[in-house]
Amino acid sequence: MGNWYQSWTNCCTNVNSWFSDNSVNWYTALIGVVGVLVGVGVGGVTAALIPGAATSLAILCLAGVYYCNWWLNIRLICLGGDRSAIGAIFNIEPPTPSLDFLNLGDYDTDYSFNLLIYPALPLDMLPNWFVDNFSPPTSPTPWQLSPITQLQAQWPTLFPFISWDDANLILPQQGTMGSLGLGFTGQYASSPGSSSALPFVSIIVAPSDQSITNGSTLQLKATGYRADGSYQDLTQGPNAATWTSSGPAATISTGGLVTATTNASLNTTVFITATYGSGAASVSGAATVKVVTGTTVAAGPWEQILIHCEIEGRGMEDLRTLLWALFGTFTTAAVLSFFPPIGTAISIFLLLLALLALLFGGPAIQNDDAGPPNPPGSPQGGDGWGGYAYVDAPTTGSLVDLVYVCGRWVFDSLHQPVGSNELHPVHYIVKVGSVPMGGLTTGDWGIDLESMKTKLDQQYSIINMPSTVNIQSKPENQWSLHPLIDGCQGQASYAPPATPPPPK
Amino acid sequence: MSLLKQFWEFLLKLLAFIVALFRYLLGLKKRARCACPNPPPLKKPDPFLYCQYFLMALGYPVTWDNPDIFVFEGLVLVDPHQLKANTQYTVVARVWNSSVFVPVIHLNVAFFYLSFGMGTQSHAIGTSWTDLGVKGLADCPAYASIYWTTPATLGHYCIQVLLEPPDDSNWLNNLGQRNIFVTQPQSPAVFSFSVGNHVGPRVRNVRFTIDAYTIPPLLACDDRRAGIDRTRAVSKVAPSVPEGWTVVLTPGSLQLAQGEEQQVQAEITPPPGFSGSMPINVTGWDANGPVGGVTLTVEVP
Repeated sequence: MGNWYQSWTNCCTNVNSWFSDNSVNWYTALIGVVGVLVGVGVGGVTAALIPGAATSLAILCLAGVYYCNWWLNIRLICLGGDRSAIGAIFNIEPPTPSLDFLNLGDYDTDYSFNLLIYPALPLDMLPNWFVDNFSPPTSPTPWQLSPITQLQAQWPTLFPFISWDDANLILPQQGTMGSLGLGFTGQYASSPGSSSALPFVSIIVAPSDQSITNGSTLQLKATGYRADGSYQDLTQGPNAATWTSSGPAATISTGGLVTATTNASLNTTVFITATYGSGAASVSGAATVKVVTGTTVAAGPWEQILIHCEIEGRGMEDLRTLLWALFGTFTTAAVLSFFPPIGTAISIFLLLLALLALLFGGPAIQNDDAGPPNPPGSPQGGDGWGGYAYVDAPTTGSLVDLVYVCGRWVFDSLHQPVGSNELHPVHYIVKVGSVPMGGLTTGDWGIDLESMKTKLDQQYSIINMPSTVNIQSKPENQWSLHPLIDGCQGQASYAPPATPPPPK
Repeated sequence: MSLLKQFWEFLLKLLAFIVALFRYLLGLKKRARCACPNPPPLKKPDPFLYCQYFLMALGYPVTWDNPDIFVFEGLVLVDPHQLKANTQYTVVARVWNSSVFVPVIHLNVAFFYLSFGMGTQSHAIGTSWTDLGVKGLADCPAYASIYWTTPATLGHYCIQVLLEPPDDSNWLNNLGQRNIFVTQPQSPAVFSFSVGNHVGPRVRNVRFTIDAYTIPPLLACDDRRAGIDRTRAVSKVAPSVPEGWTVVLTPGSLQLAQGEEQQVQAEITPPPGFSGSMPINVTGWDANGPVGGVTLTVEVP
């Protein structure tokens, strides 16, 4: 009962048994090369094409199976059991099936979405100085604990309304996998904003007040707001704001990238302004950047307070099954080809059959994807709840789904662009409410989701107990219309309450 | 000939399969149904209470003496047909969940009162909330309650309860109504109730049906008969008014303009020598379905 959705992956509980996608790519390629060489050898010995080709293809299938095994069983690193989260569906990432049976990425048929953790704002981002510490390393460097402890110390001033425990869900886990020294980018989902014909009335530049070291860079973000509450990212691109700097201590690029000049006077503050439009109709927003002493740090990726969640599809499992079937077919073809002419004819037939299976089976597997948790009306479609993902909401009044999610807490080493914590697979997901997109933008969630999460955690700790199934299968719980109509009298009384429960 | 026909049918089926396969490969997704390898990953709660309109839509007889709506004065359970004017009561709704997977935390429950009758205008009492567990566990049923001070004018009122969950697998079973009036006959027992048209601009033609349905007592779960599928065992036929009883409605049918309310008088005469309690359900219908109903109970000591 604890898993509503089927799962085909495992995660590494021991990091020593984990190895990277680079390694698996090399090993897979190595098996493939061996396969080709063996095939050439067999072809040379028999002086025939069919046995060599079939042998090569069989070993290539084994290489594919090896890669699938890594994907299913090694790629994910366990971070410590199952965890729950509550928040708003920020954006969805449905699988992208294609007709290209050779595109391995399309066999990942998981249905993904990012959850904005309550009570974070969509614009909330972890500080650059923290995220930079876990940028993709040129060579694996064990993580340092100090950035984590520093962030924890500053957390009450940075994000006073978000509990550290909730935030820890998306942060690098030093104890579990810090020794691997992997890159960690967390989750960032660009929010293109909603369309509107109204002009911008204000621009917010984030982060609004930041210190950077001499020679370092800092990525700023400009968001324009309209009178109806809709907004748009103006950081870069054809409709970007114009960025200006008030002094030579820090320069600013057209894409909002601040660079503190190396010979700047220390403790100099500059004002960075983003302006949209011209003349009387122009609007602007500003941020202050102070240049301080310290080691030069390049601007890293952005990380929002989002947890990535994946409902698993069976694409890779199906691909592995298909590859095993093809391996058997090619092996049979190779053996039969030693018995011409009938064996050779059957071999050719089997080879053609196997290639057809790959041609049609690949796309079919890619289409066997996991279902969406969001509703009709949003661009990606679906069959669910009546609300939108935040970035798909067409107006500020559009309702965004609030959900409670529970899943296995893992680090996905193949997550793009680098690694990220995830709830993968999602075990269960429940809609708990909805909130207008405009409200979410300003942090008005409309309901206390923290206490709701606590209650749901308690409820599911009972619902998932093995004894619950026995209770629910008792005769008195087999009603479908109403207990008093098609139920039966068990131990519980259906009499009115002895005293009225106090109103809430 | 038969063989040729079979071959032709086979060819047609093969062609249909190939067309379906190509449409599927070109992007037509599989339909969401339980048999799919990956069914839609949605499970929903089903909060409900005794909902007359839903049960009638399924063809079941109903009582308007709702078993899931209670009224307390202080700590004492009282009959909702004997409420005093300008007095504070506690209205309680009992809420169930037919989902074994999904609880509803902070389930909003809206309470209303109406003039005694059918299709009359509702007035909000207020909204409360409760935490509803899953079927079979401790928080199911859950209770929501609210204080209600009755209007200054003495009268008979119906109480309506509407569940407003964030998500629901069945939105049709969330409205329950308790419309009951009890009297002792002065040969005959006389009741009156209102029938209104507050739903649209069209004239509403209302007719009435009368039955003597009450929710039957439950069998004990260890009774062998309780083991069978009770849904199929529940009768869809409401028992008619027993022999010897007469029920006269005046008028027998109504034509109501928009916003109009009319009084209907019911005269119920028990057979000579009857003692006990007899509920009579009067349900109003228009061209679109049920308008509402009342349960009129005659008590003879």
